[in-house]
Amino acid sequence: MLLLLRPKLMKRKTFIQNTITAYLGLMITPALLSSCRKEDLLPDSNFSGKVIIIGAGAAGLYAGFILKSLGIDFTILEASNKAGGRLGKLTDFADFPIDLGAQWLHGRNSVLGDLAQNSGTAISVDNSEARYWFNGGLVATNPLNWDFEDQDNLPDVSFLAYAEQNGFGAEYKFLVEQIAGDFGADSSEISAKWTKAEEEEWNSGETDYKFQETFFDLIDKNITATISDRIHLNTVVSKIDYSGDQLTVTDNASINYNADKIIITVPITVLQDEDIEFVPALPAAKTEAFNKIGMGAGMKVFLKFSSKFYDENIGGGEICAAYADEITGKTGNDNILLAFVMGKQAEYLTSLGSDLEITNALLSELDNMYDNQATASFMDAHVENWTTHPYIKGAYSFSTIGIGDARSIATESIDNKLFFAGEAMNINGHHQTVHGAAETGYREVINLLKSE
Amino acid sequence: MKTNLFILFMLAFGTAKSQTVRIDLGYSHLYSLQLDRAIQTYNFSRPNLTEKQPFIQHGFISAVTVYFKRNENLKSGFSAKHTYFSSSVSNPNAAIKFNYHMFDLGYALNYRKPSSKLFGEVGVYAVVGSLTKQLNGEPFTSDGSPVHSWQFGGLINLNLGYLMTISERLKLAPFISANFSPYLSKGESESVINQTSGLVYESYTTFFRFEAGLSIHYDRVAK
Repeated sequence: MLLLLRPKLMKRKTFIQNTITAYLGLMITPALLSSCRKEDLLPDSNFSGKVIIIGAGAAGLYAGFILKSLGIDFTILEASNKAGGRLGKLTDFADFPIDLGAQWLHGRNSVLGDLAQNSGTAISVDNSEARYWFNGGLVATNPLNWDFEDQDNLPDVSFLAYAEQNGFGAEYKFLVEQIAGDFGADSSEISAKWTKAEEEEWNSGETDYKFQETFFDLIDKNITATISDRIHLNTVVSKIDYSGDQLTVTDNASINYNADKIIITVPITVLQDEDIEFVPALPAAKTEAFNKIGMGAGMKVFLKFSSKFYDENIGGGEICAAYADEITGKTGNDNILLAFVMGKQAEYLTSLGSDLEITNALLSELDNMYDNQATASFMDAHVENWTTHPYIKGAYSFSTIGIGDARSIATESIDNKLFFAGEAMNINGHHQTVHGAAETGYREVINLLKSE
Repeated sequence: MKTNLFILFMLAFGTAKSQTVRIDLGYSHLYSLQLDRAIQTYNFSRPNLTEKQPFIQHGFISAVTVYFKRNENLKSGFSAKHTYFSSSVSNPNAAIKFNYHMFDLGYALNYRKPSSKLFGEVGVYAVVGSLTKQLNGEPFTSDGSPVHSWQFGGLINLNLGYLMTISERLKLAPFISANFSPYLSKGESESVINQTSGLVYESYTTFFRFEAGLSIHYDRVAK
């Protein structure tokens, strides 16, 4: 085409020379410039040592998933008898699979949203409606017309205190509890200020999705299955000695595991309770930071009924502030109602001492809401109490009053030897979530490789 | 594309007082560490993807400059550029494409000795970047809205060309161009690409753009 536009005032030979030169230049330039780019994130890392990951929850599994892709030697030590952490699956209770732990994918703009998309995992939007228990009746509109996230300059007080400051008295307590429960906390313990600050970092999307199968399956089939040979189950770590160049992890059977780097992904409660002895002891600032991060009690109770007398969601109960129809997003016929119990409500139910007492307490509340239909149609119950799980000891982390930058301090590596991951260690606003935990898993692999 | 051509046309011929109108078409190569790091982190953190996401680096530039001042060696004028970059890859169940548009608006100073066919140009521009994502050919949405990142900054442009006369009013000029931006805000680029914010710790705010192409120079007033 350029030849057709040959300038009248230029000699033919000169024009052809110039045109060929220009074409060659245009063709070579992209390749030349592209060759300057390095595809790898960490092209200069030459780490070839051994990594031990403590905990096979989402963070630990994802860290292993990355390490395997890099060809780095690693072992995952898991205290319980299964991988998945706070993910679990119940298959023999209903005619559809049930998530015992995390079950909602909070927004699909995340690494696990990608994984669901790439793996062809079926998810659907949870558009279920709610009614609210208020002043002895169920109402369609939430009487607690208060969205703390829209408020500016929130004080560092609890949700409950802030609701009271805004004129919502005692009759609203369990509606406030429902909001706090979403954050895995009791309304008297979670900070309005810091929760909002962290929520502002949230960028995964506000839409909740449910899995046709389970969240557990997403992780189990796509991640755990690829690294299952590296996972040592029933291995309770009791001591980490990082005093020398060679690190030693000791389990409660006195078996030692040597490593060059350790990624610790246990729940924050395990660190707070000092279930693992560190040699030398962790810096005081570190342990103080651990203790500022909240993690309250939490349980999920699945109630099976012969008829569906209940609403898709029920908020504001005194025994349980949040019930949800478990069939949402699933394919099945059984009537399963989930009681999602958090904070002091979970502590109270745990104190009752048995699954039967817990079930009876919930049935009593539902009978009160639905004219005794709960007990009349009750068939079975399954109680999954994460609070009494010896290696979890709670629901998920929340931001306490005065938490400040504790998560950031808790996350910092120690001597480029110990690295901390897990949902509580997410400082990008995605704590409390499975995808937030996964993000910290790969983040700490990056930090580990950078430290070399 | 039609909109861009229309804008180019309007800018080129709608400025009655202009003396020379220059239209550029060419290849653009982007070197942006903030986008590179996000893509690298994205690929690093998704080992399940068999096909890795390429850098956002190859693009197509179209520009129009309207020169309205002139002395013997020097002319200057307003310049508007649009550069479109993309990065696409297909994996099972997910064809991901990032679209990155850069809009530059600025002022350019062009120098050429009447006896020489070579010219040089320096320009200062304000830049607006727009980054979006497509999934399987559709805009990727979160909560019903397409994910999007706006970025703002400025750049300095150096341009060298070689004029070839077609007719008294029309000239062609192959050119090469180097652009440096000392600052371009990060915006939500990490969120659009890697779906995190603050995880790609370094906050790179500079970028380079290298261009090569062909410009058409039209003198509205015959010499």
